Amino acid sequence: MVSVVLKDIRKTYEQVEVLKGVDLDIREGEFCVFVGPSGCGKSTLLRMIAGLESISSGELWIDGQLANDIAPAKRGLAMVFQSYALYPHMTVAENMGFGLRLAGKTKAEIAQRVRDVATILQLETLLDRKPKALSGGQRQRVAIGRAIARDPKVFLFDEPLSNLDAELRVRMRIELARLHEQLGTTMIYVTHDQVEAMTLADKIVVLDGGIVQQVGSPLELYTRPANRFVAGFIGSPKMNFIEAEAITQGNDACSTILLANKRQLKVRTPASGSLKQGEAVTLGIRPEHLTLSEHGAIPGEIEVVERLGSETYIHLNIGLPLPLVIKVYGNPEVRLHQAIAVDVMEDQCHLFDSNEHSHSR
Amino acid sequence: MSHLQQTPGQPGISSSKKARWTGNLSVAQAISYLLLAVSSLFTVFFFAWVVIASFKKNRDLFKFPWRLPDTWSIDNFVKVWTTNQFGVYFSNSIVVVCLSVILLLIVATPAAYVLSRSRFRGREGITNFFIVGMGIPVPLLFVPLFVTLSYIHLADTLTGLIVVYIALSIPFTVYVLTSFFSSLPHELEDAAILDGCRDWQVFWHVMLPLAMPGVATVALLNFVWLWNEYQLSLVLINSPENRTLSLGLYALINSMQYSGGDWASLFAGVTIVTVPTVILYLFLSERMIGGMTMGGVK
Amino acid sequence: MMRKRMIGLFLLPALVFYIGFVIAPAIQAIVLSFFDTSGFSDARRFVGLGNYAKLLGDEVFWKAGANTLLIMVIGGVAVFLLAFGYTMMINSGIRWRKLFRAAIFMPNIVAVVAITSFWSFLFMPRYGLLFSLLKHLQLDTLAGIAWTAPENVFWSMLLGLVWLSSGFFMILIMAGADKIPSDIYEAARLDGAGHVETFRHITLPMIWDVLAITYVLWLIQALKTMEFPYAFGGPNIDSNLYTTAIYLYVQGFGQRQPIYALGYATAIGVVMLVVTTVIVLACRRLMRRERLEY
Repeated sequence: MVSVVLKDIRKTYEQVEVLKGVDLDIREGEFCVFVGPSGCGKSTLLRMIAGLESISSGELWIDGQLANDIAPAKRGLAMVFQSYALYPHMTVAENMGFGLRLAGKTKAEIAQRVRDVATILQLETLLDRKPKALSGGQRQRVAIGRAIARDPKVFLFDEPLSNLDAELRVRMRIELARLHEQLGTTMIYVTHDQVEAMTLADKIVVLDGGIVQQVGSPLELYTRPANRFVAGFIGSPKMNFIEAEAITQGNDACSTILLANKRQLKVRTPASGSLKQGEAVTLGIRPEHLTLSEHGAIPGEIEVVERLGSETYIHLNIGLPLPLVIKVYGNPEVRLHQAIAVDVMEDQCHLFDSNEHSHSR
Repeated sequence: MSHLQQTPGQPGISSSKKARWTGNLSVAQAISYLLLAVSSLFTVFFFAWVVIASFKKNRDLFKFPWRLPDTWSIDNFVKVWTTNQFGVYFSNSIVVVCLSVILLLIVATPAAYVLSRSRFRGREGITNFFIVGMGIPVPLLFVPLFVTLSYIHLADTLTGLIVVYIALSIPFTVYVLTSFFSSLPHELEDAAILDGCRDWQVFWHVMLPLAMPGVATVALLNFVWLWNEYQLSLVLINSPENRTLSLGLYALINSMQYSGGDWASLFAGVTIVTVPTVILYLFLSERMIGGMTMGGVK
Repeated sequence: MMRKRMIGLFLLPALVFYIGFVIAPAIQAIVLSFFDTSGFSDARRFVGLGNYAKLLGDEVFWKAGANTLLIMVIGGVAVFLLAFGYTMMINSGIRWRKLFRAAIFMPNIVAVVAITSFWSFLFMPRYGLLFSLLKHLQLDTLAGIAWTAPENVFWSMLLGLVWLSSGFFMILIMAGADKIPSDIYEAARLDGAGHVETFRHITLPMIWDVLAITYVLWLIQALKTMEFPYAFGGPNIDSNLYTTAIYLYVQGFGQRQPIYALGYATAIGVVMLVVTTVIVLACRRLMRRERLEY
């Protein structure tokens, strides 16, 4: 059981700073997910932890030891790659035993360990096959098996499910979750898919442009996003954003804001009390927190109706450049160009100031 | 020529696709078949004729060059192998070419690996440095190589020839192998490093096995060009017992001046020289042609 | 991720061979060209540009140069027409593509000496294959042509050389043509292009780059031509068959009698090197055109 600590980690590539000071504390046994759009630096960060990239400045502590200059193989890590990176000219058994072979273990030890791992992942029948004779899911498992065989203190995953088709992805996600429960080892996982992040993680680290935007549990990120980026990144369909102006009025529990389309809305006053009168704010409201009603607070005209069977997404034109997206469960009877209105759940409103920070902080 | 101009309607579309939607042959295709068949047959004919001719006696050859021999005899082969020393030349060629190719690979493969995958200052410079060698006209080097080899007492020796062969094959081999190594996936290197491989172990355990197809191709190409090579051996080898096969063939033609036109034996010699490469070609033509295109389009 | 020392170690053997036996000799050749020397002894005499001056006045050199030029230009055009023609024919949707390709390329894996011996026999007067064939077909006037007479021998040789090279260059051109994705042809078909339009507006422009680069390759190769004509001409090679490379060899190592004008020979070599470099540089300049990306 090992912890990983990052202190002000920075990385510069040819004069461009791609990671701008990352501080992170990953506890023992945690499943930590790095998530963010392409180019945000999450893979680079993972590779720096692995030792495949050098650390420009900052400290990396693994299991209480300063690891900046320790060789990758000696950091007690194992990594599962996006393309699995299985050695094509070796059999499954040889792939899984390669690291042990290099470490000088005896043939008997290697064979035993390989067998044990194969049993965990149900690969016993495939041990003599070469990677090209395996399906995508099987190769995935061999890649994981190779990592487990080394008995690492920390597992690293670099977008391991991106190359699988949708159905397989769901299945493997569950297997990974089960694996974590079984082994209990610290796991660091990189993905651009926020669904994977939400379902697998104990702790999520959202990155954008080389800066950590927020660290927290999935639910924390969902209910209390620290800024507009995180709010828009987590949750699908994306949160709706409307420009507005604050008009504090009435009792202190509720404030009123004036939306860009001249509608007024009552929202719960942020606890931090930082809301000023006349301030320009951005209202964030998730599609699932809007309800259709005849006489709701915001009227509009239906532009698009997307029916998924179990739920429906309605795009409502409310007089602003972007439509409002509403998620409704089931199959409501609505038509294109129908005039209808929405109600907003007051306590589910998020307010973001002009720096895009959340007012609830 | 106008028919030919009309022909190239769909270069690139596989023949099966085309056949499906035209059904029967177009005029252009018929002409193509004809002309191509003629060209191909000419080539095959040339080879077949030479082989058959070597079984004839000289008299037959001159009187009826186009007919099959009345009597098939292997006298010519025997003569050429022993009297004309082709047996010696053959073993010389085998030794020289095999050693050259093996040593060439040992020398060039690590260099190509490092040039394609490591990051260090001057990498591009050194790569270009090697590639420039492909543009140096070999005749320019005739004299200095002869002088240099004489200086180190390797002139007129097979060893000297091997050294020169290796050196001159390096630019092309490095060029082909670097582009091949660049195409291998990077993640495998990372996986190997995490598994505990040191730098040279990554090369030895992972990258090199993966590069085998490319290495095999380049070995094949070098084998063929060295086997057939004769201008360098002409310059660097003087004594008959050191001749390679190609050079030996040339010497045989030379000597025909004096021994009269023993063409039949000559063709026997030709057969001996060409049979190894033709056999290789029969089995590996696709690989060879593929290799040429890899290296040819600079 | 390699240590500097390892990198050095990996590169060293190749560099040693290469510098020692390719680069150093090349430099040596350039140096030697400024001397008048007949061997590796002390009979060396510095003559500066004397060898080059001598070259300028050397008729045989100019004849050899002219021959080389003929190979480069006329030979080049012939080779490319054939190679291009082959490519188009093989790509016209017929079957057995691989077979035809392999058969036409085959002469290139056979020793040049072997091929020239065949072509010599083909052209031999009185007993040659061609002669007896023409006689059979009763084309006596054609049969009367002395293919190997001094006036004609160059052209006979060129014929054989073109035949051999067209197979090689066909492969290169085909590689370029194969790179054109078939979707483009399908789009053209949907746009209503017939055979000729497709060829003119799509195939030709798209392989133009490949054709150009390949032609440069041919020029460089043609400049170096030595093996084919030398073997074709046999032991008494006529000066009509000389190319610059052959002349270099003759000057350096002699024909029947050794000449050993080493300095003079290397001067020829340097001229060849300079011309090669000029050609390559000129072509790079000309091809600064935008490269088609697809």
